[in-house]
Amino acid sequence: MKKHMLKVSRVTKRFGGLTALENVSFRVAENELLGVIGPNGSGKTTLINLINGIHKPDNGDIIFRDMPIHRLSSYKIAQKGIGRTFQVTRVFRRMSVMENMMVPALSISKSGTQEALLPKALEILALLKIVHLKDEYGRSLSGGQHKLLELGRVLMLDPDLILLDEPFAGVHPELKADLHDHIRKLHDRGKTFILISHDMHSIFSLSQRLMVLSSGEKIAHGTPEEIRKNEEVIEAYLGN
Amino acid sequence: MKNLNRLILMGLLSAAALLPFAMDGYWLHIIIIAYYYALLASSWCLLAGYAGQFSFAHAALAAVGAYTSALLVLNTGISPVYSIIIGSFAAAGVGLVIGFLCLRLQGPYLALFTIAYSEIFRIVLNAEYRYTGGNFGLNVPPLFARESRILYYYTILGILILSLVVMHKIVTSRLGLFFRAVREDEDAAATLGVNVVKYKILAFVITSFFAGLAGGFYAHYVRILTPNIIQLPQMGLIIAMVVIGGIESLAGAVAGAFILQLAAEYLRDYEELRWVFFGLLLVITLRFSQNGLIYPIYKRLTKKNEKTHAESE
Repeated sequence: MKKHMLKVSRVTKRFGGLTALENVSFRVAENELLGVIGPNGSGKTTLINLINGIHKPDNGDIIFRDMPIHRLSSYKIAQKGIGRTFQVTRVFRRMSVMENMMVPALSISKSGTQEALLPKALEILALLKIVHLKDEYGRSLSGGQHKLLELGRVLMLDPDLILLDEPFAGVHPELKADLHDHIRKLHDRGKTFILISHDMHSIFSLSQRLMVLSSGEKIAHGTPEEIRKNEEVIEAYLGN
Repeated sequence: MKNLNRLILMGLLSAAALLPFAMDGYWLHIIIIAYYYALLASSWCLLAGYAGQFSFAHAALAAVGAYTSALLVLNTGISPVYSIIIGSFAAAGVGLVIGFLCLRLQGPYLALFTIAYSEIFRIVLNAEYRYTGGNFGLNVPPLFARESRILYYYTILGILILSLVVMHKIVTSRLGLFFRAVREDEDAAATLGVNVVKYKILAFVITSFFAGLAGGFYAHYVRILTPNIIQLPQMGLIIAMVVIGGIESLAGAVAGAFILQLAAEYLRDYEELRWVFFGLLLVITLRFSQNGLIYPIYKRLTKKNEKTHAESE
C-alpha cells in the first residue's frame, strides 16, 4: 500500500458569512493523480489556496509528509515541495521567460547561481516546447504559453506535489494535448498531482481518483468510473 | 553592445573626473546638488522601480540621515564622517520600521501612509525647534575643515559611484530578481518560494540607507538644514527625475536627476513656471514613454550600433 503524502482533515474555511469549505477531509497517496471537480463556487480553488498557504484554514489540519503545514507561509510550503499554478495565470509580465524560471530555482537553491541553473531551465523550457521564447517578456506570450510557463516555473521548484488549477481553461486543443502529455510524463516520473478542471474529458482521462465538491462540501470520491455513475454527483454537477 | 556600454561609462567617468577643472564654483555647486539628487533618485528607483514599493517617504528618510548626522556632530563632537555613517544606519532603521508597518499596504495605501509619515516627521522637526532649529534652520558643521568645493565634489562623486556599483550588484543578483518578482505579484512569488516579507522589508532598509547617506552628505555640505527638505514637492521632484529617466533603470534615474537639476537652473528666470514645465514633461513621459526618455534613446543608439557592427561583419 502506498504511503500518504498529503492528509487534509476536517478543513473549514469561511470568508465573512460565506463558508467556502466545510469539514473537508481527504488523502493523497505518493505518486497519485487526484482530480477535483465541482460546480463554480464549490470551493476547489479555496482548497488549493489552503494547501499552498495563500489562505489559512479556520479549522482542521493539513499534513504534508507527516508535517503540519496549515500555519506555514506560502514560501515555506513551496520550499517543502508543493508547487502550484493559478486558474488565471500569474506570470511575471515585466520579466523575461528565463527570469520567470529563475525565481523558483534560486529560491530553493540558496547557493546556486543563475549560470549554474541555466541548463535545468533550458531543459524544462525545451520539454514544454517554449525554449525559443526564453528571452521574451511574460507580457508578450499568449494565454496558452502562459500556462506552459507557469508549469515550467513549478517544475523549476522540483516539487513532489503539484497543484494544477484549471490548466486547460482557454487553451488551444493542440496545446491541451501537449499539456496532457506533460502531466502524464511527470506523473510517470513520480510526481504527485492534485488537478482541478472543468474539462471533463481531460480530468476523467488523467485522474486515478476523483473528489467532488459541491457548496464547499465533499459529496463523493472514487475512481472516475464510480464518480460517473454516482447519482448525487450526476444531480449536483454532471447532469445527463 | 558590451563595448559600447563600457565606452559610454568610461566617457562619463572621465568627464565627471575632469568636470571641476572646466567650470566655475557656482556650476560646480549645481553639479554637487545634482549628484545628491542622483543618489536619492537611483535609490528610490531601486525601491519603486525594481521592488515596486511606491513610497513617498524617501525625502524624509534623507532628512533622518541629515538631522541624525548634524545633531550627532553638534551634541557629541564626533567626526562628520562617522556621523554620516551613523545617520545612514539610522535611516535604514527607520526604513525597517516603515517596511514592517507597510507590509500589507500596496499602491495608494502605501503612498498615503508614507506621505503621512513624511508630514509627521516634518511637523515634529518644526515643533522641536529647540533641538532642530525648526524653520529658522540648524547650522551644521562642515564635512571638511578646509573650504574647498572640489573636495566636496569628489566626495559625493565617490559616494555616488560606490552606491551605484552596490545597487547595480543588487539588481543583477538574486536579490534584484526577487525584488522584481515581489513587485510583479506577491502571491505568485510566495508560491514560488520567495519570502515576500523579508524582501519587501529589505528593499526599504537598503534604499533608506542610501537616502540617509545622501541626506548626511547634504547636511554637511549645505550646512544649514530646515524641514523644507521633506516638503512634498521635493519628493515630487525625485519621482519626476526617476520617471523621466526610466523607472526601471538606475542609470536612467541618474540621468533624470541631471537633466532636471540642470534644466531647473537654466530655467531659473521662469521662476515657478519651470515646475509647470517639469510637470508637463512628467505627464508626457507617462503618457507616451513609460520607460522614460533616456532608455528609448539608449536603445535606439545601441540598435544602430549593433546594425553597423553586423554590416561590417
